[in-house]
Amino acid sequence: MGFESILDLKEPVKGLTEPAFFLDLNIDQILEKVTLGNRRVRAYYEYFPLDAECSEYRRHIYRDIRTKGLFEALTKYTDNYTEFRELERKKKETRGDIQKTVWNIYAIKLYTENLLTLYSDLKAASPESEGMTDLLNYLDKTVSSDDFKDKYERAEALSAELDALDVRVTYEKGRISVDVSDAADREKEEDDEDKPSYATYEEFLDFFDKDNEEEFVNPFAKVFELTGFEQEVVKVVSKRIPDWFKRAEKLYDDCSEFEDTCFLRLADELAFYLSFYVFETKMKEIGMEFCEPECDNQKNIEAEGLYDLALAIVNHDKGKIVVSNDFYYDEKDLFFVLTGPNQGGKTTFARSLGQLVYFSMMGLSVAAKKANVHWFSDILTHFSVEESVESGRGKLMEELVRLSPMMKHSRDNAFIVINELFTTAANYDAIIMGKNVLAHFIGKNCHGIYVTHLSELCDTDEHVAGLSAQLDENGIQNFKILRKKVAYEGCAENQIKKYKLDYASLSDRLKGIMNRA
Amino acid sequence: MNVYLLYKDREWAGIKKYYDAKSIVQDLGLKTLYTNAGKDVVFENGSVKNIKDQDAFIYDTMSKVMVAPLVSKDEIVYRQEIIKDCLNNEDFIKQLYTEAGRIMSEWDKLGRKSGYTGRQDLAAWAEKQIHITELFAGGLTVIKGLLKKYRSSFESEGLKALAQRICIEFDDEYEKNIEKLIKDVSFYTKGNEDKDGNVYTYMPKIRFKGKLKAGLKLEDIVLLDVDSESIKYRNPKSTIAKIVEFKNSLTPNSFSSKLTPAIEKQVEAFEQNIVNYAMSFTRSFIEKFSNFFEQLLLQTAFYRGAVNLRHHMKRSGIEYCFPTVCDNKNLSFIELKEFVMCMEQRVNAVGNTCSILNKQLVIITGANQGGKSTFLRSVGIAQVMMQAGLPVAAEDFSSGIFPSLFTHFTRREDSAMNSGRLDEELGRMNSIIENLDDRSLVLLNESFATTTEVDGSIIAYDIIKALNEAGVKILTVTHLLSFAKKMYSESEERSKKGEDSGITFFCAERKPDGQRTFKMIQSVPELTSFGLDLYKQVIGTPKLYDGSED
Repeated sequence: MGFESILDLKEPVKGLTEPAFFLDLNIDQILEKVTLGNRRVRAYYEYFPLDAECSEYRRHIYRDIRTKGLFEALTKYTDNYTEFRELERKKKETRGDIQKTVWNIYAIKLYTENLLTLYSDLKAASPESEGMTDLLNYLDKTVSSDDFKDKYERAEALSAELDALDVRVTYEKGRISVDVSDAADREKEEDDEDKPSYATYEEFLDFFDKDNEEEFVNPFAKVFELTGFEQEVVKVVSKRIPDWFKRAEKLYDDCSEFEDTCFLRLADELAFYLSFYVFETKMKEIGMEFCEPECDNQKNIEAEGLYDLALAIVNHDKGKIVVSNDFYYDEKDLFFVLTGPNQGGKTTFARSLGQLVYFSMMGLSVAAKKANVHWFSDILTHFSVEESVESGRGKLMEELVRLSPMMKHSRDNAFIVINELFTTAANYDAIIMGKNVLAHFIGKNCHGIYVTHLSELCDTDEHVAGLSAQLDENGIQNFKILRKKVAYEGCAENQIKKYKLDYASLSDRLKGIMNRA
Repeated sequence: MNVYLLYKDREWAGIKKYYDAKSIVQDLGLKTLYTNAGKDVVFENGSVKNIKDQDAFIYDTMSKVMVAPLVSKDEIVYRQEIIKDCLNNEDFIKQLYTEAGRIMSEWDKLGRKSGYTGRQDLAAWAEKQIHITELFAGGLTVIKGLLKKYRSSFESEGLKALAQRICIEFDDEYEKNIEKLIKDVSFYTKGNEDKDGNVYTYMPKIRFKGKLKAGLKLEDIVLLDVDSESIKYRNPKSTIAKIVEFKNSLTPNSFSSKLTPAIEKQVEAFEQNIVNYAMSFTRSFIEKFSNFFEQLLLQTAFYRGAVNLRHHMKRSGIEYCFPTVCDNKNLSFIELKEFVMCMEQRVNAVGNTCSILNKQLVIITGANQGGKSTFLRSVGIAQVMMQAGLPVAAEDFSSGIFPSLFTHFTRREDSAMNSGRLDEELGRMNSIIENLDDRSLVLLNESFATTTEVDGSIIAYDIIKALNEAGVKILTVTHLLSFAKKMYSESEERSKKGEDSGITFFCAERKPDGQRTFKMIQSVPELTSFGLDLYKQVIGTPKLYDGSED
């Protein structure tokens, strides 16, 4: 059985454009943290899985990575692969023929060792996912071939012999003398009489500062080509071990093109899982909860302890915590209509719902304690552009222009997030338009959430459930979202109380300030 | 490494100064003291031969150290003992100070103040590092030698400990190794040298081992030895040089470091990296001793200044003593001179002898030109000098320790009646009050004279009484007679009851014939001032309306 893609992609990803909902749901901010600005890794996040199977395939792989301790093994593999590619690059670019043959030895050695290690690590972890099992089988076939073994053994032997050799250089009176020595020669040297009292110069220097971490800078390491100095050294060495050089040449003639591109693609695509794993681990360390979503279409969509991941990141930097919410769609529910006071966490909740769907579709963990999510064909969002200075009619027009393709071209069974639509229209008009939009998406069997100040939209039809953002006993926003239909009342008074700027509290505070002074 | 000559357990850094040091310096005329501390007096056969130019660094040091009071008897004795050693071994302190100064100025030339420039310019960094290492190592050798030479004559804890410390921290092994290191890398900095009529040049002698790795690159280089050897310089074009070169080229498995221009450059880079690597190990040495030299210069400058001050005392024929610390309520001295005035006017002024025991408040009244302010200043100067560990201009001086010393002098030119001035004066008093503590001494010289006598007396009474009751030690010179009178009568009442008010009164001594001796004596406050004297002189004896007769 062959092996194609650890992401279950038909063809390698080539820098896709970012889906429109990334910006609205602040997923772009999250991915910035996940990918640390790496465009190549980010491309994998922009590619939305085509079907539920692909999503599941990835979820199972990611589960293996999380639960089978595969992270270290896979990271080691990708790191080594990067290093291997660097050796290949040098091998191809170098001008010297002798050098090519030696780069080749080390490239083969690294490549074969890397695959062998991955193979044994994977085997030891006994993965359960389809993807990892396929990979393991493919690796098994590769590393057990005679050709692979031959390459591996020859490269190992050649590199070990070279490693065992010390090159000794004496620079004196303007001349550089070169000598080679192996273990046997080294013993003889111990008896050398003309030796200083220290074995290495560093031993002498340590007298002054044994904590000095400065290392001798190898002046030849700046370029990967041999310097003139090194060429002269190699000349002497090649006279001393001619046989070794012959074998190296032979290995190059026998195999210099040996890379299976399937492993190259694997190394690239693994970055998708590994980057998220690193991110998830870091977030857990600072107290954020994650879980693997259940993806059972027979059960209701629901979550416990759901929070907005983007806000959590921002708040953590400011030392604030983020409020989490529980919710569920009833059997008949397709849409939430969310109302409530301003700054009550409505948009945040809507975003967290969108993020929940996105990360489940990607096959990754979600920012909640527990969640069940259905498969959706797409995510569509419509957020009002708040800073718009256009006139009411202009803004409404702009909203409708953006809404139109979303309604016309949406697939069935998409997830819809709508935030404050038609705010500039008359209530009467806005209610009618809003109900129409809801009815349209419900007709397409979409799920979603509609944030609005018009509680009347809750009555659109039986598939709509009303939610509302809450205030605590003092009338202050607590960012809790409950299944409750509440009319919108405005909250200017609450807001000044929250900041203790009303008459009573302010006078009180001022006394304190005066006393202190 | 620490110098620890100013304090037993710390260097000169972040030491707390007097709260309003600026006023103290101005009011007591300390700048004159600093100036003279910076000028050495050279004697020959007991008379002054010449006075040297001012050493600005000593001036600067005295101006810093003298206004940062010592706070305990131990600290004071610690410095006094060192000064005694310096006075007994003047050559030692002079040489030590000179050597510290030489190192610092050489170091300045090497760009001390430009700080530690980065490593972008490897060559410049290495060269600077080698020169500084050489300078420091040489300096330490000299300083160690000096301390060893005089060690047996030291009696102070501070100098004994310093001699011991340097012998441990820069021991002979260290000295030997650092000299070897400097020699090892001397091929890098040393030019040609003439020796026995021949020219010698320093050539590197380096051994290293390494591995050939991927691409046959030379890696894992381990330096085995680095050395410089002095070799007879030969013109490369000379026949003999060519013969030697040819002979060398016969060495099997070797090549010339000048085989190609590229190799020559690579060898140079290699040498550069070796020197940079080796010298990176001296960073901690330089770090360790750079603060040492800075501190040494400053701290020896202080003792150098102390010796100079002693010379100035000798020049004016003033006796000196090392003050003793006593209870804060007591103050006694024998033949205390106002040292600043003595130096300014090159006279041996009149001394005062007092024993003011168990007094917290000393009120000095009396006619102008009677020596009141001089008296107050002489006490202030002696107090500051004592708290700097210095000897004072008296046969004996004993006082408490007051780290919170304040002066509040109304200077003549300030005396115009002007409410703005009073405001400023009260503001100054207020900031003093805010900074008082249980070891405070306040010297008031004609305070609150910027308003009328009546108002001034009321203000002075309120403030001084409150301060006195709070336990602040005060010496005040005042013209405010109503205030002095009131304090005196209250004090008398308390003594009648058998209580000790802790207040005492001084006046300028006047002989029966009216002649002034400029000495202060303990007596009932004079209730008359210069004005009455004047009146008497011009018009006749004025009538006093308090029932007494003149």
